[in-house]
Amino acid sequence: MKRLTVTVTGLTLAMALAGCGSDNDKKNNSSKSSSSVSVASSALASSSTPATSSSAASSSIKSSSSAPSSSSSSAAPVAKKNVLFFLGDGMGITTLTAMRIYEVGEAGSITIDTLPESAFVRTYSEDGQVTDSAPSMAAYMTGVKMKNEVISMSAGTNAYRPDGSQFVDASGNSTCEAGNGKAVPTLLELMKAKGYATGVVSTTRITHATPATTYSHVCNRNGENTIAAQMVPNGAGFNAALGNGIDVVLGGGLRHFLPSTVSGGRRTDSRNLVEEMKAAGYTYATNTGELLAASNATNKLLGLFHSSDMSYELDRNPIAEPSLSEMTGKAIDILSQRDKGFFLMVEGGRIDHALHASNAKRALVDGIAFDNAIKLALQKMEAVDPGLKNTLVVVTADHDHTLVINGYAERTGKTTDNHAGVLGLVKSYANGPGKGQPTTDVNGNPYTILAFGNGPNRPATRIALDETTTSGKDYLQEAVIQLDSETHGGGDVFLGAKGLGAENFHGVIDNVEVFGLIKKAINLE
Amino acid sequence: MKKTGFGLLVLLLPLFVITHQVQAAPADALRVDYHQWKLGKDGIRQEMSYSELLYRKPDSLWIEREIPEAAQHSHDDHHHGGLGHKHADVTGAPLWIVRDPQGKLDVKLIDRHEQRMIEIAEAYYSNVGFDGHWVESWSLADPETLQKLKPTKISENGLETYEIQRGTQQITLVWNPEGQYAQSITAKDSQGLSGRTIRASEITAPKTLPWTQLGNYLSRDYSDLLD
Repeated sequence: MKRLTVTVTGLTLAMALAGCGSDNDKKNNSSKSSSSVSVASSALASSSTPATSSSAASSSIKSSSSAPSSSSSSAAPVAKKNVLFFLGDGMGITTLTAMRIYEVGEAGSITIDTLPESAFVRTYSEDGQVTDSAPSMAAYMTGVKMKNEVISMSAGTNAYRPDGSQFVDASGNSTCEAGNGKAVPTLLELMKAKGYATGVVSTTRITHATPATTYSHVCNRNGENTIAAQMVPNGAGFNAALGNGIDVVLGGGLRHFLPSTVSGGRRTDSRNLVEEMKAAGYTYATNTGELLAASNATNKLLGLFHSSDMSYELDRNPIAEPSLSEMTGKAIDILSQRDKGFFLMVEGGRIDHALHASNAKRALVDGIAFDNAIKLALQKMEAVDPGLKNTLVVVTADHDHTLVINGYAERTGKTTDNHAGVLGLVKSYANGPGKGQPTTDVNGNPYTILAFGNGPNRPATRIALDETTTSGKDYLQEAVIQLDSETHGGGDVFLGAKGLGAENFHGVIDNVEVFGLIKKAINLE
Repeated sequence: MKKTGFGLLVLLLPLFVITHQVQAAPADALRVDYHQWKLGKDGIRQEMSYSELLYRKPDSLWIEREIPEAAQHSHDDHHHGGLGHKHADVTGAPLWIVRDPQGKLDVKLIDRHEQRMIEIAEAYYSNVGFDGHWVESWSLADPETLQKLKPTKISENGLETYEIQRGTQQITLVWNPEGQYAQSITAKDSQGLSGRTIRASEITAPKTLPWTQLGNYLSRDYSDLLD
């Protein structure tokens, strides 16, 4: 078997020249004889953007048997392995069930339901029984269990000082101190170093916790100005582990890329990171039309479609802001053109926000938008890689919420314009005169199927609700404990997988194990 | 609902009519007392009451809960989340609503503790107890929709009383056409199981309106408070 081993900045990647499956790769790893030549790292890069200092160091190529490296162009093509990681922020198992009932009824299946492999994932963080998005997504991306609000740093890193203040200033600049932890490598960085193309897509600010864990390192998630700077090739604060930069970046969060001297800008260092990204070779899209018009041969693509988080799907202007499916599709179209495979992270980020607001309708609609993005991605990847023999698709959530499905409700079927479905009231299933009539609380008032353990709507006295009200887009489901904002929950979350190495995901696993299972699937060492 | 907790009453108000032309300037400051009660079938009567201050200009409205001193201390002692993404305690924080000439609303929650103005996108109106209705928030009732009804009584000082039966609820509304606000709204159900009352009275407006004192406040989004 002809084989190349490529070493870039201390990381080693084994690439099969013939035979593309993981089994072949395992056999190839046992090759003992090798020869070595040195090449410039630019020869390894799929992008024409100049490599940064960290990746510009000369690299060595070790070729097994007698095959000269220069003959690789005539050898069988190297398998392009791909990892697509879908993260439904806050999409706990109850939310998943509610999404299904909302969209297709109790017995139907949404795309997530069709994933053939599955596991339950424990989500606790280093210091929290209930995690926030920063350490939970960072656990997936780095394999390290860290404290709440920490972004891809070593265990023990603190987001708060001993006096309780945070390591961030009022403008969103990190004030993390030296010695407070160190950066730990992320999947995106590791795959970038191996020559894979990379992409990050989210409906939140692209500097928000979940996407940030893929490409940045900071002790406190609220330092979003600092996080943005870590993305910009050649700029001050750039994360050199990103090589020549992330290939596709799509989401919201423009405010952290613009100086505070312009409308809506939050940066206090006078930098315009959009202009810096453009200078670094990025094509810039500001709306749906510009995104869809971007060539699939685009070298680098940045799309920022909102000053802050992108709109909820229920409120989205389709001209101004692309859907999560449109962003995902364009990212795949571009990344799959590259010589090597790719890593793509897609976040349905606003499911979580709507749940925090205890607004089930917006959460479920955003959840279905997330599911639709997965559906499109599977379709596109089947065309790129039939059977997903070299593509791993992982779908999971970072944490649960306090959403519950109440009472002994009769089956509702899916929600339509004229039927509240799971957004409606609990109604009796039992035969008799009460069948289909609302079940009531101790004071005779009906109650909703969906409710929360905590949240903003805890009326002092409950009133007689109707389904027109409860299925309205602004209705806030009631909560047991009144808080300004609903919190995360501590339950395990669902993980579904399909394709290359998907069978490795089973049973009850810890969130930090996901990192290793993905690496194992694509033989990333 | 934290600000306009009597949303059901407000929904019923379009059934009323205003009949008098308004001559004087509307009241620029009101204290509004809210009270509601409910008798459960377990025999327990639950009551809730609170008061809010309304400062009104034609295109600007400030709604601020009156928090008694003892409760204020408790509130100040409560953990505040700083500028982070969660733990924010903005319970009872003032709401500042501005309407532009096209009728578009700009809604901000004023966090005095952290000195920040929190922009409330429309999707989050419900989370801060605002139902999105400018007129009903400004006047406590919509005078234009009141025009479909006749008052059952007009007092010597011009106050108009409207009575209406809505389902099992008997509603009485007293409209002050001069001050341009509902002076009282009372609703009770025919079985005597629940009732609600809103009473508004004119007060002296502060010399310096609160929204002119926010120069140093940071601008933030409501989504910043979410995880």
